[in-house]
Amino acid sequence: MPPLSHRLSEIEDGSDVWCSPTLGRITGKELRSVLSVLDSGVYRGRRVAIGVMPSVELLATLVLLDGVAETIIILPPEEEPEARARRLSGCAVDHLLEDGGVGFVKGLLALRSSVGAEVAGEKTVSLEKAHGTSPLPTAWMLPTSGTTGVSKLIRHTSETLTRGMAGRRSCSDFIWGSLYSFWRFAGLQVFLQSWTSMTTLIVCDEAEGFDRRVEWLASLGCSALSATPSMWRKLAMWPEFNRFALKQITLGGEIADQPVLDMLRRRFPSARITHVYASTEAGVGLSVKDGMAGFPVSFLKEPPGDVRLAVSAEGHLLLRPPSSDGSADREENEWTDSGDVVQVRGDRVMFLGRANGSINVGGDKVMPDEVESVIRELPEVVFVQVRAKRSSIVGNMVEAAVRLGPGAVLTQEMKKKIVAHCRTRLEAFKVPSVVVGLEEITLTSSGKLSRTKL
Amino acid sequence: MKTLRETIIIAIRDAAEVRGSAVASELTDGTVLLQSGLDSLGFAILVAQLEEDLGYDPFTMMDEPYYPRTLGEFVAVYERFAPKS
Repeated sequence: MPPLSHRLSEIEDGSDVWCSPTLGRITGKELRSVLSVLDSGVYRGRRVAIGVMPSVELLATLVLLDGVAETIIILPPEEEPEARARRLSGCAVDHLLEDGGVGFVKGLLALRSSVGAEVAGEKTVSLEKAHGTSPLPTAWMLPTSGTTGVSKLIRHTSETLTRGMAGRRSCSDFIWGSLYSFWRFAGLQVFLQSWTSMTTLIVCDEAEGFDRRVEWLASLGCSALSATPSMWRKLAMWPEFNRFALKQITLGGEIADQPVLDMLRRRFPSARITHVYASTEAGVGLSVKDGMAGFPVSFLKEPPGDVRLAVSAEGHLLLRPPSSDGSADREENEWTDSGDVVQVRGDRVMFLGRANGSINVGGDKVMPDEVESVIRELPEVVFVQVRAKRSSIVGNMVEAAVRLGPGAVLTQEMKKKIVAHCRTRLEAFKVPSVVVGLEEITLTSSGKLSRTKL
Repeated sequence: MKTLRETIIIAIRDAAEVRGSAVASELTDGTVLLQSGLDSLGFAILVAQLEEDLGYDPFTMMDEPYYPRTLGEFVAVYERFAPKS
């Protein structure tokens, strides 16, 4: 796959590549002009770490460095200074870029002032020169979400990251938006999808907060949005959600259950709704477009993409990505355990939850996701978080924290209704022992529902 | 004002309801808890509910683990660990 910057020559001068609340519309001409005067030669063959900087700067840095640097190391932005220093010394980094990055935003602002126009005319260091005759196969080291401890760095290339993405034609009129951080696998997927299909991407910074970003996405005309099911449920509670005119809805990062898919279908009847199963470790495993939870059991025999799927004896989903040389068949022991528990129900493979995320109730294992999806079947419930509650008697009990729709109050009767509903649908030990109100909805840095008790 | 014993009996009936089981219509000091309609998870729910109602969980306060068998013993445990007012 050619480096990302090869796309630059194909972008029309007047088209909006990125749209940022602070920088406005960044056109193809501006992007080319600024990137062409930035000297990327110093990064050639080097290991470059990327810390905290504006999102637009990150994206420009990635375009500039792909094919130039030996390795791009994306540092988890929320990491503590000490942990980061340890990571940096372990990675043998040649350059650490943060704050101003490669100087794209600065260059853009200079270009937009009269001074900059002259500067841009004088300097002629081109990207082709920096690439030399042969672009390097730049490795991208991406941080995992680190929900189970220290975030690990996983090796990718722009090729593994764009595997299975839709081509230019199918989404040429989309304006992409992301509620994910661009420092994460899921956010980078959105960036690369918009980049490879050459459509506009709305770039917001996470620091602006959820509500502010949603407002911008709506007012800047976002028509293709990627978010976790928890983010979508949170969005649905936002009064101006109806302002969105979505054509493409993507869910990922958590289990997409039937109620959230149905809710989105009702709100956006003509949108294409895709739920993807992906992880930083394995890349994109599969995507499902039929609006139904889980995936067809036929995928186990005939995978829709080039990642093969299987279910282990313990019920874990196994993945086998294609080998780097492209040959489909590899040894049996190269299956990767996703750590996600699945169950075949009829012609569908359903996700139950993370194998290590279970709540141990007196020796029986309960998947919070499974209980959550049952509680969400009740129309009164708009948000639910199932978590462990310490018990002096059985170790842990299942606690359901729920948020009801406007006007509804969590009465004793409602609590009983929730428990009674669970009893009809779940084995006895999975039924929540305690139902409480959910005061605040906390999502992790990767947009997943936080199960840490508030 | 409800007595400690009354509070516990109400909580037992609620816990049994959460577990979808019925409790013996009359509960006496001699009633064996695990035969009263509560299983061990029901018992855990009872203790959690009482912690909410009363503000303490005697089973986390004991030096030696002790699990009461009958309702009378159970009430006695809560009496013993009740905060001095």
